[in-house]
Amino acid sequence: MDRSPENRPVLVAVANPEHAEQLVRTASDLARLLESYVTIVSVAVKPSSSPFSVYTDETIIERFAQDTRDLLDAAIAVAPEDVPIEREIVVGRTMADGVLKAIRRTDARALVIGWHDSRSRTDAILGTNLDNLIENAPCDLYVERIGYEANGVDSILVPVAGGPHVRPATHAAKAIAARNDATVHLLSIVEPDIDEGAARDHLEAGVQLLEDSPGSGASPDFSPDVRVETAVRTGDDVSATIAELAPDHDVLVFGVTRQGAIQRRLVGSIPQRVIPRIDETVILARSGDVVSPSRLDKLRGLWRRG
Amino acid sequence: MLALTLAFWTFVGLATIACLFMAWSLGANSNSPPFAPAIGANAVSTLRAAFLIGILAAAGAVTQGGSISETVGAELIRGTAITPLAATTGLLVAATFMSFGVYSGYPVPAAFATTGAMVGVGLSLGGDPAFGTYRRIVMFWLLVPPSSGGIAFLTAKLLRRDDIPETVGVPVLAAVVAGILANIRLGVIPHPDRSQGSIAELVSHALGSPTVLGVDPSVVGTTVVFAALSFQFIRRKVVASVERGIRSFLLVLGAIVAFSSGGSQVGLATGPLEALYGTELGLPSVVLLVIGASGILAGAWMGAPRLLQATSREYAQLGVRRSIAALVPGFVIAQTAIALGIPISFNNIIISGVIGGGLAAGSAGVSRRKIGVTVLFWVLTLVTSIGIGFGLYRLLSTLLGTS
Repeated sequence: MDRSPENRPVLVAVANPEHAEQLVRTASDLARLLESYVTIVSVAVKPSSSPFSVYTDETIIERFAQDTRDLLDAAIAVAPEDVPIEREIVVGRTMADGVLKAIRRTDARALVIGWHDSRSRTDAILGTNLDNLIENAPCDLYVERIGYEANGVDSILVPVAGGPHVRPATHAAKAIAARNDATVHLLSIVEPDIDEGAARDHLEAGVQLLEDSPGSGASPDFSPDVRVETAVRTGDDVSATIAELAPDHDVLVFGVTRQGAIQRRLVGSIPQRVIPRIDETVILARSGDVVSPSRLDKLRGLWRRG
Repeated sequence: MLALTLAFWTFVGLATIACLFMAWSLGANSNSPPFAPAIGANAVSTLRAAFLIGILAAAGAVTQGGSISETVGAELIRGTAITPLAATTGLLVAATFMSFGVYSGYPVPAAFATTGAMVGVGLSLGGDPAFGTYRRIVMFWLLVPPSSGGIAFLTAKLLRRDDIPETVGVPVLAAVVAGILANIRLGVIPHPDRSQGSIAELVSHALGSPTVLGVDPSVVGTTVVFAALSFQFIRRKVVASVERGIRSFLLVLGAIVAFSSGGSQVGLATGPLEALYGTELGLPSVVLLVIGASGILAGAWMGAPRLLQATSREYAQLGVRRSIAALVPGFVIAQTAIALGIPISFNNIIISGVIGGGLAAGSAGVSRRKIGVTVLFWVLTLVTSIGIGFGLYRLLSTLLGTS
């Protein structure tokens, strides 16, 4: 496997063999664009209430993680062949704990993770593990909704409104467009009677990001020419307007938005309102630039090391 | 007066909810180990196991929970009774620690949290520390890891020895377990001096036998009969088919351990309310135990399947013999703690048992750092729960003007 050491992997976390193919495909698209490789990671979850949590990580992986190994084998079996694939088993107290450990260990550039939108009974927005990762994963993060997979992708919709998460969103859009020869539609929505200038600026910035993103002529082997279209729409209700336009596209890539009440801080109010109303593939993108390691994380490191 | 009554009933309500929550989380989190090995060995399905765990743990809670509940409620502090506000505060602190443990994934043993919180609020109430009780409790806690690990080690050695065939080793273990079973104290069995009696003592009373050299021959006789019967029962099964016999033993053992865990854990939820329910409301202690037992039952039914699924495969990889080795001390130590009325963390016993059984197989593969962190969190839980219990009670009693 030839890769320069400074290359950082695209991590994809798998927990269910049925969902592996969809997630590994997206991770491979990203890795192709970033000229990197994919590391499939699976977590052997050992909560501290488990008597087995006192074993060393090596012992756990060797003796008490057969399921996890089987899962990785299944995931690798469905991976595309043109992207280098590595595998990693980590031991964690929770899923999120293990994935965070894997990010640190591999110095991952991005993480792709699935989200199953069952009607959950908890307060958590996407589930405690995903919420934790959105808050703490120190790399670009892509959350892909499981099960709603487009049959061939012609058109990708990226709603933009500025902010740090547009960059990872354009990466994902470009990566998927490149494999499918699809068009990326950047969309900005303004309320009526408000100057469209800001919206135009957002779109321009989005186009710039798409052009600047990796894979643009940097490597002679892979320089996708992705078609980009932009549109400004007027509408009172941003969520409703996006939901209305969604059926014309195959994939929606959202940057998470940070405004709104505390409860919506993680994902953003707009994606939260749009997602339940549409059947398209949805990817939430969150930039790694917004995460700085917290003091609690450093404390947690005590437990994780070794 | 009306306001006072209202306040009183509010505290009764709050305290009961806190007790139910505590019992629920005990049922959901610390009652699953008993059947995980049996599921791992395909002796029972996950859902049936969770169902049985709930019933057995609740039964254990009602019949055996009284002694530890009494210690937590009345013997941690001298010179003052726990008031409704103090009971509510203590439970609130303990329940918060439990939630923190579940949320953060750090090991927070309920026994330490409840004991610490009750000592804290008791001291804050102006009570005197009961040093004698603390000494007994701390001594027991310090002895748990070596004895649990030791029993597991010996059990695993016995089952691994080539010169002792399974047709002897497993029935011997069954005999030991049954012998102890004849002597465990149950709330449903009357005893002239205590609230709980054992089957052996019941037989002894019925026969009215005298003691010889301080030993009651009919207690010994009952114990031997119990041991002999189960030796015979398990031996017949093991002789017919070693694997099936071991599996049945694992199932029976799991049932007994689930029962014991209920008896040893419910007091951590109900203990703080002993004074409130017993003295203030004048209710018999079984009412409180039934409340605690229903919390444990609900917790086990709702939480155990997930946890069982997570750990049963590990026990399967551990193997039946080492699984048995990890369970035997769970039963022995939980029953000793019940007999002595000492609050214990069931998980600590099982962890030590798994390590001990592992050592018998040669390499332990245990991480010293992880054990260190685990022990550190145990100590932290104890110390901080005392401090928070003390401080929170002071704060609340000042705010509410009931000091």
